[in-house]
Amino acid sequence: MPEDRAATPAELRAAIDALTAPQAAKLEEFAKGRVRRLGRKAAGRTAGDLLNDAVTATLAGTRRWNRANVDFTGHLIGTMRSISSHWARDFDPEEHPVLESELTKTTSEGGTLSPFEQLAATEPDAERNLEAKEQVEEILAAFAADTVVSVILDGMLEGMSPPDVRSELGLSQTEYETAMRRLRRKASQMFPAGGADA
Amino acid sequence: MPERPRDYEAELRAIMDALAESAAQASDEEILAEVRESGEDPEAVAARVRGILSRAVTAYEQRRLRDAEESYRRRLESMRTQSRAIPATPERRRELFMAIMTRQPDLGTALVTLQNREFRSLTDADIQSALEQLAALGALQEFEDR
Repeated sequence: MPEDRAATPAELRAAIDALTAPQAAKLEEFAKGRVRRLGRKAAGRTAGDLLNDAVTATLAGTRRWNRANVDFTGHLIGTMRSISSHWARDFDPEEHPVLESELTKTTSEGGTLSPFEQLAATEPDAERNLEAKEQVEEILAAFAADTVVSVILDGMLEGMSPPDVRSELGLSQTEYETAMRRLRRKASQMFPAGGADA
Repeated sequence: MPERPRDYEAELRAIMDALAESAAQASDEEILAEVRESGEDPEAVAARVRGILSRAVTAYEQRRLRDAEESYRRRLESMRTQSRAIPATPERRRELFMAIMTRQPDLGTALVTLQNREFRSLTDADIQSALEQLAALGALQEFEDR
């Protein structure tokens, strides 16, 4: 049964003080992951902003913490998932256009190569799709020598859920988690935009 | 029929989604190992996250305080604006008071009942107080305009 009142500041302070190191690290890692997922749609907001907004929404009562069913970490994760989805929906691409200079590369001959020249001009959202293409290819290339992660990535790209990928590959939970850890760590190096400093 | 272009945005989103969710599902040991591998101290990370969350609580509390202060400031400003309509000298205050009582006898009756006195026996302090009450009600505005 959902709570019929918003959590008080005192209740949240107590829950924050009681957070263990793994719980706190998990919150930060999830916040970074959600901001990284948003990419340009984060519009400059950080993982710290997401954590901050989750607390504000809980205190304001727009997200109720159902203490009987979920612990504080689980509540904040659910709240951050919801808030970041709102950020994505509210994103106005015209306010944050992809600049050609962000995608233009220098060739081995010293010339410049603009991917925009390869696009059909009328293709909708072509710039963002092109930017995503480069990032997907970058991730795949980074794990070309890591067979397990490569196959996990292939499964994800085919739309398989993580449990499906794991069972399809016959990986144990530990093997799967270890591979995902390598993937998360690499992704945070490649896409560091999710910093938690608020 | 032309081939539909590959949706790389959806592919990237699927990868990033899975990464974020895998962090939420990871065991305590996995998360701690990941923090250490990145060269950070888990306790330092925990302190940073607790700090962000605590500051959010403080900011929320201060926002309510700021809202209350702003509301009080507006009320005060409104009262000051109304009070500016009250004349500076006792003679002018009594003159204004009598004018109000003459033009709006209903107000006069209410005040006389309230004060339980004849107009002539009202002291300047009584008049000042009555005018302040009338000002707070916005009743002096039309007399000031005239």
